[in-house]
Amino acid sequence: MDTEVDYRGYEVTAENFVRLITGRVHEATPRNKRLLSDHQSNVLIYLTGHGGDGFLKFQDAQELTSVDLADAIETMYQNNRYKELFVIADTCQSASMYSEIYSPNVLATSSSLVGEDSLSHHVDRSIGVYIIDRYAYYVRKFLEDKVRSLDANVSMADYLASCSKEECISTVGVRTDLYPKPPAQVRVTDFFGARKYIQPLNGDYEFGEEWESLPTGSEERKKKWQF
Amino acid sequence: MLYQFRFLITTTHESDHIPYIIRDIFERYELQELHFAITQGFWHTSLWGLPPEDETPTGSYFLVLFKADSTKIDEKWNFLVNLLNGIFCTSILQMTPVLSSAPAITFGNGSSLNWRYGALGGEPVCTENLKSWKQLLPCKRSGLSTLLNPKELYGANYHSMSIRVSRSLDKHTDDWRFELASNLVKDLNLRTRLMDWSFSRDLGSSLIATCPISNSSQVIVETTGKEFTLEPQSNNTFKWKHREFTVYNTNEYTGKQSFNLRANYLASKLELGHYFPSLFSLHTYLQSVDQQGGKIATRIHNLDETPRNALFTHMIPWYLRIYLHTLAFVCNGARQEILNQRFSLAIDRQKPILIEFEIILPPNSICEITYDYETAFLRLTEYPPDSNSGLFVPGPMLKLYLDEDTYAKNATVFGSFRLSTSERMQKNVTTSERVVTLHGEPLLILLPVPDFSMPFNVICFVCTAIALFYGPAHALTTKIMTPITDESLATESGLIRRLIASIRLKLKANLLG
Repeated sequence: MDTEVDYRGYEVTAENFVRLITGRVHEATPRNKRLLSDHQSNVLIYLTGHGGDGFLKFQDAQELTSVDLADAIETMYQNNRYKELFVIADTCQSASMYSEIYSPNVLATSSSLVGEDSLSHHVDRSIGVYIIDRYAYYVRKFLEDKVRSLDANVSMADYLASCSKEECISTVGVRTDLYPKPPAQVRVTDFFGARKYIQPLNGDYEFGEEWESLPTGSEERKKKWQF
Repeated sequence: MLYQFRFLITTTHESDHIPYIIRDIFERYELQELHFAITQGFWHTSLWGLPPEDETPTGSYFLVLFKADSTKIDEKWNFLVNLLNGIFCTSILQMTPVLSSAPAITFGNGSSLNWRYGALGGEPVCTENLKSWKQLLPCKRSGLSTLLNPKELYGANYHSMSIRVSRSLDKHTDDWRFELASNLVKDLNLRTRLMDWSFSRDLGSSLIATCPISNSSQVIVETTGKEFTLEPQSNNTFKWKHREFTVYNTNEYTGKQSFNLRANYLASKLELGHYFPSLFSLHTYLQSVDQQGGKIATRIHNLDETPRNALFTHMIPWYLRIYLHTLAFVCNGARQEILNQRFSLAIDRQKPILIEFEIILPPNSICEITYDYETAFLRLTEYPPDSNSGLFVPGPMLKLYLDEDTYAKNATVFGSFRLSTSERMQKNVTTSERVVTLHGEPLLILLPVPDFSMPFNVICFVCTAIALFYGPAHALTTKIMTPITDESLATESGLIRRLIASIRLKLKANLLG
């Protein structure tokens, strides 16, 4: 019950999604609705819904194509908006969504290959609709059982194998050619947890005149928001 | 069963208890008052009585007063709507510019044009809004705000959350008044056939700890005319104009165990007798509607013996073109006068139409305000994704001026401290009148939509083009043109014989080619 939903209703459009990840938002957009990532951030993108070969459907009215996504990620790379990126696509034929990506340091996975459909898990008889997909169900089970703290020693290779062919029925697709490290040596919490590495400094430090006079850009930022 | 939560912070100097983000907004955008609310469900005035403060319409409601000497107000308003959209995790961006206006007489100070008002009728309310709202309180893990649980709140009939901040800047003081209010109406569980209620059953939890920095933390239960015993008991009772209340100071009860207030009714069956029809009520509806237009009607009941002054305000988006010459105010069959009208006309895609006027409601009357409208075509990209379900139009507001006695007899809830506290803030005691706002239902209007089914349209167009092109092309490419010689025609005499001969010639040519 502790989630923050930043974009909802009519504001969930393909345009807003691309603006959000590339950072080209309108001037009036509040901080809540911006992706404040920099060259040291690990970013997780999880796309779920209806889709097909090369596209994802938004609100029954628009589509986000795999080429759009790949170009947006390249824009992110060129603007140093991520250090490592993990893309999960959970739609029918979702391997097509990550097949066009060409930027480095991107690890991608999907719930089905091109030509396969992703299936739902179970139905709620009182409302009569399927309430969760197979991939989402087994991945959630994996994360809740195995990844219990930020220090958990679970690797991305375990995550990528968490939904087997018997459970998911569709084949989980993985793309590692753009990612420099082997997934078995990367922690799951690098992407699924907000982990900050803190190192205490012990010693005497003196901040002189040069430090005080360094420009921080905060004055310009303050002026921009004033009338 | 109505639960009302009010959290009030007043300070006379810069204080940390007012959230930094609110102080920052007021400073940066030069505000004097801010009122923001989101509501799920509708307050049925005719069944439940006058709405409790804050009176909020269904959907989202945003009202701001800028300082008298502010500049670039419309730009600031745009930034403010975006900012609140972010703070409360809502989706109110449609408010600017299509559903924002500058009311002139509705909110007091007829001369000041620095009010900005925006409303959306169809805004959903969910957990993320509650969490953002609760974050503004200084005590997050203790105190009465822990009684608000999303599961119980969002299954209720009516739930509204509002924040109201006002600031008065004199030469020497900087008075802040920051209030968060939440009203919740829950149905009784009729399966058990008992009217008993308790915190744990209705709100899902009991109070474990009182907020340590609060000056007072109280639970007030109205016991007028009700036959139940409260558990735990309290001797602290309070009378206000024929109504009785029992007061609990929560820090006396939360020390050793959690505070779960429970009411046990003495009668073991449902009491269906106590129904007080409200003296005033408002109902907005579409009197007639077809694909091209319709008639918006608002019915007002005044069952009181005295005439009442009232102020009617309605903001309608530009795509419903209102015919102001059809505006009619009829009470008990007779046309009445409209005083002091202010119409701010709509500009396509830039501003809505704002109708404001003052009226006098005669005693014992049923009045109706009606006006016709015609729907407009939007551009293809302006239609929302689910446009076949209609577009919301926010409901009208009716402000009534009641004297203290009538208000006391009809108010649903004890306490509307706004007037007394702001009197204290402004250091002059003025009115003995209370302003009560009644809101009408938001309307869901179906605009004429184009056929969004692309494949069908494509097939129609392409097939038509092919048919129009194919016929002549086939004829020209597959037929041989032979000249008709004069002899065969000239020998026949009479029109009909010549006609038959030329037809016979054509048939021969077809058979050949």
